[in-house]
Formats: sequence, structure tokens, C-alpha cells
Amino acid sequence: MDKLWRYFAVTVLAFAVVGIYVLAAFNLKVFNPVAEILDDYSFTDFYYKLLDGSGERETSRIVTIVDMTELRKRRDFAQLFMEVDALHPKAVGVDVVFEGYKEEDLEGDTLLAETVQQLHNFVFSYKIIDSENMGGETVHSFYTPNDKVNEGFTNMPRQLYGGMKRSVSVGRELNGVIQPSFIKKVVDLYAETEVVPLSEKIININFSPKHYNVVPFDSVLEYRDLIEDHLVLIGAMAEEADMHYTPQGKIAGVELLAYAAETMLRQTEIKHASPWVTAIASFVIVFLSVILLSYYKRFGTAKKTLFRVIFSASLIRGLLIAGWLSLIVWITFILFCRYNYSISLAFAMSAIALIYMAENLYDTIKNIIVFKKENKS
Amino acid sequence: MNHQKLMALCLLFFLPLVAMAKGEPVSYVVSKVSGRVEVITPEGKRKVEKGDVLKGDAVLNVSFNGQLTLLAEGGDKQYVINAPGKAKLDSFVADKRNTVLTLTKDYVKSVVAQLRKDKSVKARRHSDPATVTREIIVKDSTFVPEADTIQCEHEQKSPEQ
Repeated sequence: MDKLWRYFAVTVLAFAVVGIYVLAAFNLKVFNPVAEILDDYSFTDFYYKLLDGSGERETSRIVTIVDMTELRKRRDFAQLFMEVDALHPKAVGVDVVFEGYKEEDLEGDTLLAETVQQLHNFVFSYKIIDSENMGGETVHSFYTPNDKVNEGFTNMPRQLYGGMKRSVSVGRELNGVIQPSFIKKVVDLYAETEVVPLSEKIININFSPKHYNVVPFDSVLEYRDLIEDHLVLIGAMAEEADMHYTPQGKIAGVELLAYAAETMLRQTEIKHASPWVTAIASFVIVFLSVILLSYYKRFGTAKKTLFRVIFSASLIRGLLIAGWLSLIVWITFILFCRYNYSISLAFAMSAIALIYMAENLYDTIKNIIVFKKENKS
Repeated sequence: MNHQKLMALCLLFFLPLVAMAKGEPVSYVVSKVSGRVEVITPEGKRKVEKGDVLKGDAVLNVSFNGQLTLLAEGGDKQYVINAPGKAKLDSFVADKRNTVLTLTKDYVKSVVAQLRKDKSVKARRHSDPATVTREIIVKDSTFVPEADTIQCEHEQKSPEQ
């Protein structure tokens, strides 16, 4: 019973030490950069890195991207849309907002507006202005007043200042009505059914490394195989203003949309463990680690000197902890790959690294208590 | 002599590579289809049906909610493809998110034969020891199950159930 109490107390102390470090990181100004990193860190980023290094990227069988970075004239856009439409894609999403008329090219504007009305499996994008003063206002393309144009917003949830983009909205309330997002509309068009019911739900994008076929805007007709029966996204692949930070690094906005569409269609949304599940799992893992390390200590009293010296070395203890941590990471990684389930064990792993300190702390506290009792008696 | 040894070594090293390079693409037999799954041929699109034999380089178009169960010919694997998209069959099969079942080669062989209506391969009605015992006791027990009985047998054995 004494032993169990010791394991329990050491586990609690290990978490307490980690808690003190985290509190310091978030409250002391000197640690601001650390706090920023911790705040924006997700355990899934680590898994994606592991997946990226584990072999060749799988090529998407659903999405093809048409890169229009160099395209400027609106009449050329009209031509591109017609060419793409002629190759019978299942659905097309256009990640461009044609804001206002271009007085120097009104003919191009007219051509684009006429073309857009003829495209039935195209979804166009609009932006919701997120600032406090203009909240709820939207920016549409100039041809939008026409009801025939199928539109969805392309805003993606993220932290207020910078931060990584990890999720996509299914819908968002705008002037009392829930509006579908661009991705929801494109995905429903591709699937010919409603894949995710319209709500204000936010879906965690699965960023498992993928390769997307990119077709240049000026040779679309040469890539019939990649367009026909595919979900085609038209956007800029090399426009600095439309680059975003994601767990896959800095990627183009249209590629981010491709990951989001693929997640919705393949229903591979990342499900994060609830705080309670994470807390219980973390505690159990650290508790087991404390028991494991206490048994390991017995080797330090082995009869053979060689064993005694080797096993009492801090290097071996470090290796044991590293091996144990690798096993835990491997199990959680399998859970992630097979079931898209992510459990963040950052706290547990930090606590495991600090078990030695927690043990010393426990012994010190115990000695103080014993010493005080002896003094009193 | 050394020259001969070198030649022999080279042959030993390269022969498997040549054999692999000339290897035929793997064939798959469709054992179940649900939803819309099409195969794209130079003649156009054709709906995939139960019993079809598809080569690994065949181009498939799997719709959302479409599902395809395949058995690798001459192998022991059953693949359930349920992700939408359009690509070569090999690409669908290589997807790590597929449900892959490892069965016995004999089981796959008998199911494939049944799907292809090949009567030269027959499924055993009983487990091996039971069959042997009955053969010893009843000498003229050359029982050949009817097609319908074989069907029931497979349905019972099917790992999906």
C-alpha cells in the first residue's frame, strides 16, 4: 500500500512540476515566444511530420488543381472556365473573387459574367469580412447579384492573430441565416448528395501528406484524364498573398481547400480526444512509467558489479525513458493513422521526463515530515 | 574461371529483376459492388459488376458512397475499396485506409472459381478431418455438392459475417 501511495504521489508531483513550468511559460513575459509556440502547437503536427517522412506521398484521386497564378485578364478566365467545363469535371470550385468592374476591359467583364451563368457545376467564392467594425459584410464577385451563380464563403477558422489553419467551416451564420461554405458546396456537388448537414460545425482537416496534380491554366485541354470526373479547384498556387501556414508548412490557399475537400469527402476528419479522456490517459501512462522506473531501480542493487554499474548509469535510464516514450508515441500514431483519432500526450510526456525530479521532491517532502515529527516527539 | 563466376553472379542478380519487370499486372475479381463504380475503357465507361476481372492498370471511377470488394487472383487478400475518386485500380488498392483481409489461398481460389463459374475448383463441404473420416467409413461417399449448396457454404464461411 505504501508503494502504491508513493507511485501515486510521485505521479501527481510530476504533473505539478510540469504545471508550474507551463504556468511560468504563459505568465512570465520572458517566456512569451515559448507560450506562443505552445499555444499553436498540436500533437497532430508531429504525426504529419512522421507520415511525410515515411514514404512517397499518395496522389489524390479526387482533386485536381488548375493553377491560374499568371492569369490576369478576365476574358482569359472566361476561356479557362469554358475549357474546364468542356472536359466534364464532376464539380469545379473557383477560389478567386472578381471584385468590381474593370473599366479598361468591360468587354472581358461581360464575357466572364455571361460565361459564369452557363456553368452549372461551378462554385464561386466570396469573403466574409471578419473585422469588428465590418463584421457580417461580404465581398462578392461583380456578377454575383445574379441568383444563378452558386457561391460559398472561403473564410477558414483560425486564431485571431496569425496562427495555423487546421479546420474548415461547414456553415456560418450570416444575418440570422446559416450560409454554406465554399467547400461544403463543392463537396456536395461532387458527391451529388449532402455529405455533411448544413450547420455551424467546424471540421478538423486531415493533413496527411498528399500530392495534388496541378494543371497549368494554358494547357488544360492536354490533361483530360486529370479533369474528367474529378473535383477541380481553380486557384493560385504561387501567389504570396494567398499562402497560409498549415501543419504541412506554408501552402497555397487552393491547396488548403483541396485538403479540406478531401477530408470531407473521405470522411477522415481528425477527432480530438476530449479533455477528460486525455487527462485520464495521461495519468495512467505517467503512473505506469513511475512503476516501470521504480522496478528498473532494482537493477542498481544487482549482485554483479558490471550490471550494477551499467544499469545505474543515467545514460541507460535515459534510454529506457526514450524507449518507453517511443512506444507510447507509436501506439498513439497508429490510433491516428488508422482511426483519425488524436490524443495529445504532450503533458504526459513532459511529466515522464520529470519523474526523476518528482521522486527527489517526494523524498525531500517525506524527509521533512519525518524530521518534524521526530522533533515534536 | 573468374569471368564465368562473374557472369553467373550477374545472372543471379539480374534474372529476378528481369522476371519482375516482365511480370503481368495483378488481376482482381470483383466479389461485391455497391453504389456506382465504373471502369473506363477506350470504348467508354462501363459499370463494374460482380464477377468482373479487372487488371491493376484498369482505370476506375468510384462515386461517393460507392464500394468495391475485390479478391486478388492467385493471392490471399480481399480488398474493400470505399474511397471515391478516379485512378488506376493499383492506386486504389495501395491506399492504406482500405480494409484488407488476409484469407486462405484456397478460400480465395474457390470464391474466385465460383464467381467465374469455373466448376473445376470445388469448395469442400466439411473440414478436412471430418471429410477424411467419412471417406474411410463410407467408401462410396463421392458427394458433389450442388451449386446452390456451395453458395450457402461460402456465405457461412464469409469473414464479413
